[in-house]
Amino acid sequence: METMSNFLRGIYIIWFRDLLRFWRNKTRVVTGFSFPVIWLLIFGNGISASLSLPVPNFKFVQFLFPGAIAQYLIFNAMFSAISILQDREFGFLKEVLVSPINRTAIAVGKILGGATTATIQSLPVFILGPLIGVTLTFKMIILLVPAMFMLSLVLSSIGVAVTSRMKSLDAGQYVFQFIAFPIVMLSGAIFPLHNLPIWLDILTKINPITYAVDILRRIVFENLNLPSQVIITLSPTINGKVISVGYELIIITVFTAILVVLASRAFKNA
Amino acid sequence: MNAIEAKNLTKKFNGFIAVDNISFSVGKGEFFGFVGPNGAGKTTTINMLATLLTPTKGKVIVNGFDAVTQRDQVRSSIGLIFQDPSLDVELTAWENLWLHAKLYGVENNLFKKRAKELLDLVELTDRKESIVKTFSGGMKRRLEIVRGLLHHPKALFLDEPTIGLDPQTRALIWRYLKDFRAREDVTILLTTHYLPETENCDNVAIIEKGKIIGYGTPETLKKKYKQDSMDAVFIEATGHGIRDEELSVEAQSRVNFKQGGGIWRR
Repeated sequence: METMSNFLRGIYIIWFRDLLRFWRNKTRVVTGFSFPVIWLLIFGNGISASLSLPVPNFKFVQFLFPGAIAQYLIFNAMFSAISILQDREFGFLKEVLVSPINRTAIAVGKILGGATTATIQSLPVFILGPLIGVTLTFKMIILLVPAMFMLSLVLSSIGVAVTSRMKSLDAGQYVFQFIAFPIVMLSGAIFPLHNLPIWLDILTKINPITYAVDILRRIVFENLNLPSQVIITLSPTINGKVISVGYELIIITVFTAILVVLASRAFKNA
Repeated sequence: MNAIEAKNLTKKFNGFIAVDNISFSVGKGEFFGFVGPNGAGKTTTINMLATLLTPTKGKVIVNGFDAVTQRDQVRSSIGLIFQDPSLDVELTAWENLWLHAKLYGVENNLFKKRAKELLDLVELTDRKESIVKTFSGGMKRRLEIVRGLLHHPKALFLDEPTIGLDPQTRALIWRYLKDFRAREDVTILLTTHYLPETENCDNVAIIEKGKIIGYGTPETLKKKYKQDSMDAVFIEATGHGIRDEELSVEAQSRVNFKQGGGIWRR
């Protein structure tokens, strides 16, 4: 019992510090909130002017909306893990590592901290979406928030698993771009994942983020009375069959669990 | 029982012997000074005592616990002040202390009482709500000392606590340390290369090229080397050459990853 409460205390304190730093850092809050504005307003409107989907009454911004949320979360959740490298560089990590806190708790706390701040930062999309013509219902929002948190959780665990093994802030920033971009591109957040060349198709399917993005999209589309044809063409398939949300959740959970183990190991050797 | 017991302690980094088979003990409540030129192995030794490095050979017992097999118990029972600052500079002084209290499981009321007392002692009470970024080097160091003592450690380790500070601040830090020891009977082990400061220690070990080459009270050391100040003792014992800065833990671990450069830690 004693060790369990120690473990939870460790997670809580590491998580809480991330939130404290987030609120303290006003520029991060403001720039964080402004990104979805830029993305949806400019890219959303710009691209829907030149493209349209072959479905009546279905605007391109609507297609783009879940993808935009996903893309935004990808950058925020993964980049929040960069703070581990800042802590290594500026010394605070030593304060944590010399304390009697369980190493797994450090990794889990860090992952939860990144996921929480990324989710909070993305909340303005719910105000912004309707302004540019996205149909949003209350039910969608209730379902989207936990789904967004779950996506952030996978992303944040990728971030922590990678940065906990890195030496310096400089290296981290370069490698991160290298990892984050393919993950965004291959997740279905930017273009629909059907009729792809086989090699691209395989890459999108081994990208766990694909399934988390698909859950976001289904929440938005299934509550819109769209022809089921649309959802099927957009969702990932195996042998022509659409993967169910249940399976998607299992894939995401297993993947996150593996990353938590990898990240904790990195802290043990620190 | 001694507070610290090191037996045949050795640390090698890729064949380079940083600490070479040293043994020493520090009594409970003792003020122990580790002195030596840059690169002599002081930081490596303190890191092994504090569980941050695993010895290549030898055994360390701190406050009755083994520093390799009982890391968490050792960690809970010591306070550590690093050579480089390790505060979260984006947060306030009070928040830094609060985080530390949580990391060590200090109960909230106890924490508040203790933090107020200690901040008072180092004269930082009126700055406790300030962001640490705005602090001077001396203030940060004082705050770190408060933080290191917050969880009532039985032993406090300080690695070059007065480095880079002006003489007034250095004197102040020593005064605080002596006050703390008088108040709570905490064992203090510190490294320094400001020799006059070691006059304040109960016992001093002179370390050179990873070996202890002199040990005793400041008085006996002065007699042994027939000098009248610790500065003169030091130069007599370690020679006149100039040394390179000792590698930090990070740098040392980098050496472990096949020569500097690169991206990944292992």
